[in-house]
Amino acid sequence: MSTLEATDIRASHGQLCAVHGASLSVRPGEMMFLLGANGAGKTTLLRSIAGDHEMDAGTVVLSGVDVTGMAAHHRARSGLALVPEGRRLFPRMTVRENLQLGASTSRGGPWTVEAVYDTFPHLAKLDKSAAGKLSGGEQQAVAIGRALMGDPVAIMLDEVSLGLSPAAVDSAYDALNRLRDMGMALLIVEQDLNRALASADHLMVMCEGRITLQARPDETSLDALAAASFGHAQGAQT
Amino acid sequence: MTSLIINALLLAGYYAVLATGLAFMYSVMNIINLAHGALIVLAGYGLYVLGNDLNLPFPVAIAIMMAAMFLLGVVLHRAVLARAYGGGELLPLLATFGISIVLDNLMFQTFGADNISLAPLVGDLSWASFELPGAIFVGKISVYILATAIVVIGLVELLLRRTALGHRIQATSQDRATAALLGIDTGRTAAIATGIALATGVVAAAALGLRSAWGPYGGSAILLFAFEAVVIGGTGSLWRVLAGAIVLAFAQSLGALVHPQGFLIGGHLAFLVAVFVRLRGGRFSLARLFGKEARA
Repeated sequence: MSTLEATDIRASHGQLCAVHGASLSVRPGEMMFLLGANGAGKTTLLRSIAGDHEMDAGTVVLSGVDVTGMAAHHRARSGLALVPEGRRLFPRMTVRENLQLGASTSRGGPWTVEAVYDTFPHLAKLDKSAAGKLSGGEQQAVAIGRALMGDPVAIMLDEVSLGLSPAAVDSAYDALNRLRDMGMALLIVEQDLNRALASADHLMVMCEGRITLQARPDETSLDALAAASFGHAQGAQT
Repeated sequence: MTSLIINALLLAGYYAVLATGLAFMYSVMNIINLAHGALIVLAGYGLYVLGNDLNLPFPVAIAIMMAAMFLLGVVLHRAVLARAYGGGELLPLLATFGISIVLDNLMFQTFGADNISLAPLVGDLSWASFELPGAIFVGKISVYILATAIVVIGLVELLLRRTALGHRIQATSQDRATAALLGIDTGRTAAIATGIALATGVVAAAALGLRSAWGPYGGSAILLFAFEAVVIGGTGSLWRVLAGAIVLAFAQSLGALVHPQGFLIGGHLAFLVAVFVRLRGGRFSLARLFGKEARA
């Protein structure tokens, strides 16, 4: 059974239709990548699934429970986490305070501040630092840690590597691979196609609000992914 | 001179108590509550009814009124503020202005035009004084009000910075969408914050009633002094409200020194200077007026 199943999601910004009926399904321990150019509707799709953006139609099922009618904070309490684009930490609170806010879901589970520090060892010494003063990589680690503190079953990450140094991206993916091994369902929006091909269990490409390609890494190629990102037919047929 | 400084400081304590709830509502909820003064007056009538008509001890009356005003704050948020919140800067202003008019007239209808005071409820405390070296006498009430201002601001700051609820309130005020994504019930959190702001108004009501007397339309004068103290001090930390209250009280005392009628004018001048400093070189916005720093 899929952990996260979104069916025929439609969402718009005012008159502009951003997502035209996208469906996806992520299994436990699966790392699914969502690719596509800027403006393809990836962020809107993620926010719709999380309940941060009101969708026009579609259903979201989490671990077999229909959460479509729930507000964002109830979806979070059901075990669905979104690490938003730009991290959106609370800059004047400390790293520990940011992490503790993640526990607002009140779900029981293995994650504590100390467990997050075991996963991201470089955060431990930043415990009392203001989150706004950290580097991009450190902030991304705090944002992922904050999502983990809610003991989610599925995590969606928007633009994980945007603005990070290559070393920081490596460290973030090390942690994500460990989460996958723990059986979490991961849905990752990524601009770096090579990184996605190397890490993914499954890939999806969006273009102009539609899913134009779905494949496993061994079934596709960099060229096919790039073509699908721009809506060329060759991508859709692969 | 010494007595002038001491009296201004004590007056500042009173203004700080009046302004704390207003500053808390603005810094935490981004709502300028124009019903702030009227709600303090309402709490004052509540204290009067409990203490005078029902003969309850004053501390018990304060505790009951704090619980009642907390509940009223939750209801106010759910019924009015939550709906007005999404409508831009102006809608909460208009909504709370309307509430203040309704409250003013309801209180006039219920309690009449008489000015009443809480001073009889505390016996001789209302005129008792401390003697300081140099034969300076200060009213005990004023000293207690200043101490209470510091304690209330300290407690609210402690709540905001050190408790899980405080962090949820901060998260809700800074970034509502992200707070919800973390599983925080932002509507409930904001309602609790409104309740806390109104509960601090009970302390202000007690200070108002013990220092002097008030009538049903007394809210606008309270709002004016509270507003001036908040704009002069700026938001960000509630301690800045105390600083703003001190500046306001000293400006008023200096004004009174220059001319017997100069008390209010001195305060207004300090307020205007603060307005000009905050708005210099840019367009008007409520956030700039209140010195709200841009969130990184």
